[in-house]
Amino acid sequence: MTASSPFLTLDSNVIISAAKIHEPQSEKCYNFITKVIDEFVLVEPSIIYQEVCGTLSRKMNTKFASNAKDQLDLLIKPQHLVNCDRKTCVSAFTLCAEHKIYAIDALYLHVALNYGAILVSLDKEFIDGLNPRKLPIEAYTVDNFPY
Amino acid sequence: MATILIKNIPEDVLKELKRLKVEYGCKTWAELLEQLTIKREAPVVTEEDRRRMKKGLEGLRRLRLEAAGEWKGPPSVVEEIRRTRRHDRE
Repeated sequence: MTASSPFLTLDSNVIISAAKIHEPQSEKCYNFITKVIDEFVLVEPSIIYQEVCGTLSRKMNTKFASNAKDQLDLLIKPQHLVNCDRKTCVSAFTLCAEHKIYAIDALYLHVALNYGAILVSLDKEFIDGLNPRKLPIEAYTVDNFPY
Repeated sequence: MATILIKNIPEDVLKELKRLKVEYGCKTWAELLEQLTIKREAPVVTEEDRRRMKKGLEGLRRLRLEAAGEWKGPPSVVEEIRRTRRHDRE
């Protein structure tokens, strides 16, 4: 059986929070991911690997981070992983000025825009700062995700 | 690579295509067509895909339990990621 699902771009902070059980939003983030993988398809910039695994490697250890890498491999289909190569970065940098966001935030936004995906982050400052007039996609924090 | 010639494009459609070409950062019309194809392609999710994602989720649950004994306290994850992304913060 197959079904069509809309795309969703998940900020790395949602996945990292889900992994850090002693985090106020951890349970919420884990439950959120549980819910969305039934209804959405993740499309992510490849830098999510560096952000998730780099953070977990520093906070936990390399083996733990490597294990997290394996889970990302399962959660994100290879064809829905956007390489952060020159072409992607050159296309994304103008978003920094349009939305007054930082470089890495722009990579997530760029991928969401290109795939018409819903963008979800734990960082309210990032989501609230996006310019709604230049945003043809939906963007939410985990707390206000309406679906 | 194939070549196509498109005739009779309405002015307003051409104007919109030119706007999209700039918005998506495409240098050529071929790149724009590629981008538009990606955007309109609805992802097909098979039962096997769902099984794979659920396996990943189960792995994430195990990681949570493993982290429970070691990773506590501040900074919060949001603050941690802000720090890594915003080292240029003024």
